[in-house]
Amino acid sequence: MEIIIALFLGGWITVSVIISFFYIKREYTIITGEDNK
Amino acid sequence: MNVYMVGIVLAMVISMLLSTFISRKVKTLNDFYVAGRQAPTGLIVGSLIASMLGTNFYMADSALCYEGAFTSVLIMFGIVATGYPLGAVFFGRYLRRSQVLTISEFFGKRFCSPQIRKLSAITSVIAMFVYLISFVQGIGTLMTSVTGFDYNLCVIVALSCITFIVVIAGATGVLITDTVMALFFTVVTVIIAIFISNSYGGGGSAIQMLSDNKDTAQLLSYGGRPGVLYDNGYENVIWGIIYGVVWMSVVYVGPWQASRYLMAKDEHTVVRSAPGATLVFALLSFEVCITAVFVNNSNSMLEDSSQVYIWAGMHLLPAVLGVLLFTGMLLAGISSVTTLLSLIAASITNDFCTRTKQGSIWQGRIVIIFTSIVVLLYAVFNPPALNFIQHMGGAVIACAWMPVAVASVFSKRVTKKGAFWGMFAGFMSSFLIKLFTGIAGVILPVYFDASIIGMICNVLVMVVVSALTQLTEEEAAARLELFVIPASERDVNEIGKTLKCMKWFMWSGVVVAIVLLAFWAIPYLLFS
Repeated sequence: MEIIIALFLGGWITVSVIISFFYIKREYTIITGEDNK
Repeated sequence: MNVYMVGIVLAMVISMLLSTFISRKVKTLNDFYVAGRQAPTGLIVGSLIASMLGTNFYMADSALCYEGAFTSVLIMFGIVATGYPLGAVFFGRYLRRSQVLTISEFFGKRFCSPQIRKLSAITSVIAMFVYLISFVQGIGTLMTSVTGFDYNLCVIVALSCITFIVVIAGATGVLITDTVMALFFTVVTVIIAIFISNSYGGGGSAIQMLSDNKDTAQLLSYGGRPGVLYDNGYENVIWGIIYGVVWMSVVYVGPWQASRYLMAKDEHTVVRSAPGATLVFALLSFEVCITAVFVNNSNSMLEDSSQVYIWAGMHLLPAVLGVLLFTGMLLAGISSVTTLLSLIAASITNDFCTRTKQGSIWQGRIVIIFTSIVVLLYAVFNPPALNFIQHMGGAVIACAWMPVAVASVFSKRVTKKGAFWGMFAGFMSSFLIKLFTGIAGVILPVYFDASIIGMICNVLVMVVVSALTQLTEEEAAARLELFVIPASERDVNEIGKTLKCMKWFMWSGVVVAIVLLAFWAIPYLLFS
């Protein structure tokens, strides 16, 4: 159980950064696309 | 004057001198309330950490770990840490983009409603006030224990120093002193943690010693020691998850966290500061928690467990490290209190007394002094109850603000009335339940914690009232305005740097998992 908790906490941090990364990347892709037009 | 007093006095004097120097740069309203909106990434990270971690971190949270709720607290902090990337990206950027002075102003602007601005200001002032009291009481308890001086005298001295810093240098001073203090207490915490674990022959040996003693064998297990929080291990894990979500909400939207983004020089700074804060917060909290548990190897019978670090500083560390530890703990407290004090002033001055802007800096200064006097009176006449009060402040913000903050950005349907009554319902339900359970001494089942009920009430009322009321064109336009990215944020080089920074920090979760496995889970399973 202790190992599961350690992996869960590390995994949850990774997931939250990945979610944030892809959300912001999507927005930046739109921006750079608009600017290129 | 004992040797520990020297560090405390020096820290206070240096902080006041630094703020006096910074005060020369404070000229405009923006300088006083949002540090001129020019803060770089390092200052935002420092301030995020400093304003979140106060004296209570070393006293209330550590006390729980020392007593046997280590895993619950660890789960809570691990979840809290993720509030930084989520909050910065999904709320902080929109908050900064709106160019407001307070988060309440943001709610008012977004929902085109002065009423919701006032309500959010009231809830934030109440939450920050109770949180402020718990920190001041923590500082007073620390100074009294370390120096032997009267508690009231310690509170007066500490509050005078804090008030001086905020009054003369405003948010600019708070931001810079916060960062210096955060750097100091982070480094000191790492040194102390290494020293204490090495005094038992290293982290592995310390864990083995705990496991070999039947009285302390359960302290690092997933369920912890029965009775510290709940009797059942699963309930303790659920407590950690619930309070993790509550405090993650505070990091996401809480005035003493999200308001730091208002000071950032641009939105890229907001995004880049978050992953760094996540990593530092997660690792620092793990170190503080597990070190508090290790102290059981030397003394597992402390009468007042909130004194665990104070006892360790006096009995396990050489005088020099003891001085550094107490100075670091004090600075952690001061940095949080300065932030809260400046935010209360900003909220009262800008959200309640919106008269001429020219007079606002002075209005703010008067409010700071007045608030300090009220806090002083409360802290002096009421016994410290660090854990109860600090969790009450967090619950109020999570229940009143979190659902509305998420809806303010991502919901097309929530109306101003829905947001207002949702916030009101969330605040009242959590506040009254916390107050009732606190005063009556009633322990609700973990699933019916006030925070859970408050958030559910908020969402339900917000959805129902929004369905019964009409969204105006003005409100819809205010929401769409949030998604208009300013030209200054469209620099391709800056975008590239921000994405690169986020990519690097994707590994932060892996680092945290490795640290937890190597320094806790695996040694514990090997020796238990």
